[in-house]
Parts: sequence; C-alpha cells; structure tokens
Amino acid sequence: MHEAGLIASVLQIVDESRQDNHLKWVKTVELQVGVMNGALPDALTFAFDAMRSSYAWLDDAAVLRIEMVPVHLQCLECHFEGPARDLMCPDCHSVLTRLVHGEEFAVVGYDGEDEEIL
Amino acid sequence: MHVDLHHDVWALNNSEGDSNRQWLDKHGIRAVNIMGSPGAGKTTLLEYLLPVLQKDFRIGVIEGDVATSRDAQRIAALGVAVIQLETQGVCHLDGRMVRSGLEALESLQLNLLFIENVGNLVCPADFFLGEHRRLAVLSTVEGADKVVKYPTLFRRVDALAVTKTDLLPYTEFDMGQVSHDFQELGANRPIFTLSKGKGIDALAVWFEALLRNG
Repeated sequence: MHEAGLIASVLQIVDESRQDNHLKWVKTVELQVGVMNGALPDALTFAFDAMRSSYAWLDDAAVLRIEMVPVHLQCLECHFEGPARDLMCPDCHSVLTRLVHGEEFAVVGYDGEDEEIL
Repeated sequence: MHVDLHHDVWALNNSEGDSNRQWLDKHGIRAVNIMGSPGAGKTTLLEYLLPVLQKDFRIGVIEGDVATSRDAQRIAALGVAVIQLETQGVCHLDGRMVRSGLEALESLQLNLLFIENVGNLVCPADFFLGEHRRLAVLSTVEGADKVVKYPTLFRRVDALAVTKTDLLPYTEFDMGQVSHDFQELGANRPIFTLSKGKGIDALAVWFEALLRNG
C-alpha cells in the first residue's frame, strides 16, 4: 500500500484548512476509512508518526484517530439495504449491488490551537 | 478549537486524473489502464493486440516501469508511438506522471491510448489516471486465488484477461473459480482467455466497441 502518500494528502488538507483558520498547532486529526480501501489503520498510524517531524505545525503529541467504516450495501435485485461482509447481498446473494459505505477515505476534522501550548 | 472538514482524500489524489480525463476527451482519445502483476503478460498482450487494432486506430502507449525502458523498446518495435515513464521506485503511476506522457504524445492525433501500469496488484488500483476503461491481466501461473486475494484491483476493472492459458495443464489454475470470483466482485464483466496471440481477436473486438460506443 501507499499509506505514506495518503497521510501526506491528509496532512496537506489539514494544513490548508489550518492556515485558513489561523491555527498554529494541530493536536488531533480524525479520519474515516472504509474497510474496502485496503488501507490498514496500523500502517496509517505508523506513517503519521514517521512523518510528523516534517510538519512544524503538528504537535509532538498529536494523535491520529481512525474510524473504520464497515461495508453497507444496497442490493439492486432484492432491494436489501444494510451491512454486509463483502459485495454480495447477504439476503439474496446477488452481486448486483451498490456500495453505499466502505470505500470512503476522508478527513472528518481536527483539533487545533491558535497559541503555543505551555 | 475543533474544525469539521469532511474532506475526501481520494478527491485530492484523483484530481490530476480528472484533469487528464478532460484533456483526453478534448483531444478525442479513449484511454485504457492495464494493470497486473510483474510478468503477467501485459506487454506481451499489447504486442499481439496492437497490430490488430493498428489497422483501424491511431494508437499510442504509455509504459510505466520502476526502471528501464525495455517495455517501451518492445512496443516501439511494432511501430507504435510510445512514451516510457520511469517511476524510479514508485509502485504505481499517478495522474501527474501520466500527464507528462500525454503532453509528449499530443501532436500525434491519437484516438486510442494504452497505459501499461507498473506491475503490481495493489497500489495502481487506487490511482485514477484519467482512463475510460481498466483491464486487469492475470496469468495462469500466478494462481487462481489472486482475484480474491487482491479484491480492490479486480473489483475496479471493467474486464479481465487471463494469459498463458497454454500452461493450464501444468498449473492448478481453476478457470471456473476465477470466473466465479471475478463475477462476485462485479457482475457482467467480460473475461478474455489468451495464449500468446490466441484469443486476441475477441479482446480487440471489445476495444473496438469501446471506441465506437463510448
């Protein structure tokens, strides 16, 4: 995988917003990651920890919070809608389904400070 | 202070691909992203496919490799315009790299472009390059379990080419299993079976339909 590249994109998004909001420090970053992405939470955290020193605005104790989003399907045949293990409808076993949730990779938000923490 | 963002990270990763797509559409070029393991037969598939399609289309190829221009030399030997992108270690092509290849091919007035991605069953699946279609290439010697082991890639393609079928008698490769697993990840997608040039005509017909019907 390329978790480091994804985290670099995350930090770019947070940095732009942080500057817009005149925040000097960022203490937590919250992500929503669908399980179908194949991006592993441990690897994301590892990348975040490895890269934090390159971002002066990221607090030394900054935390990455990851909420994993399970698969949620809509079946185009039997109209089941709900949680599933994979892309097959758990009710009628059709593969003609639409993935409603499980593929997202989003920065939900972050906590920042506008002054240096004492 | 808490800031709510709800910013899609993929959108940032894919924005270069979106702009490539606009560029391709403006120039009347249909693009196909070919993905598969190292050694699956992606370049060999093109070596058999391009001469068939060359009669009717103006074709260009972008070759993505970690190192060397060997694949580009094989394509150039067919008389097809080719650009080699050497990623220097990066495991996939991204939209930005492909853009430089597109600009190099601009003056040729192509109408069909093949982008052969870096050999890898994981990372290329996550990067939209601007392509209109995606083709996965899987060889019989890799094993039938690859479809379920790398579902992200096999789910995000429009068709599958199974190569080296002449080696079926020497492998445990179960074509029925692959067909079932591929179908389970997304219905109504064709599977093409290839052994060197054998079977290439059916794949060529699929590409011709793609160009005609959009």
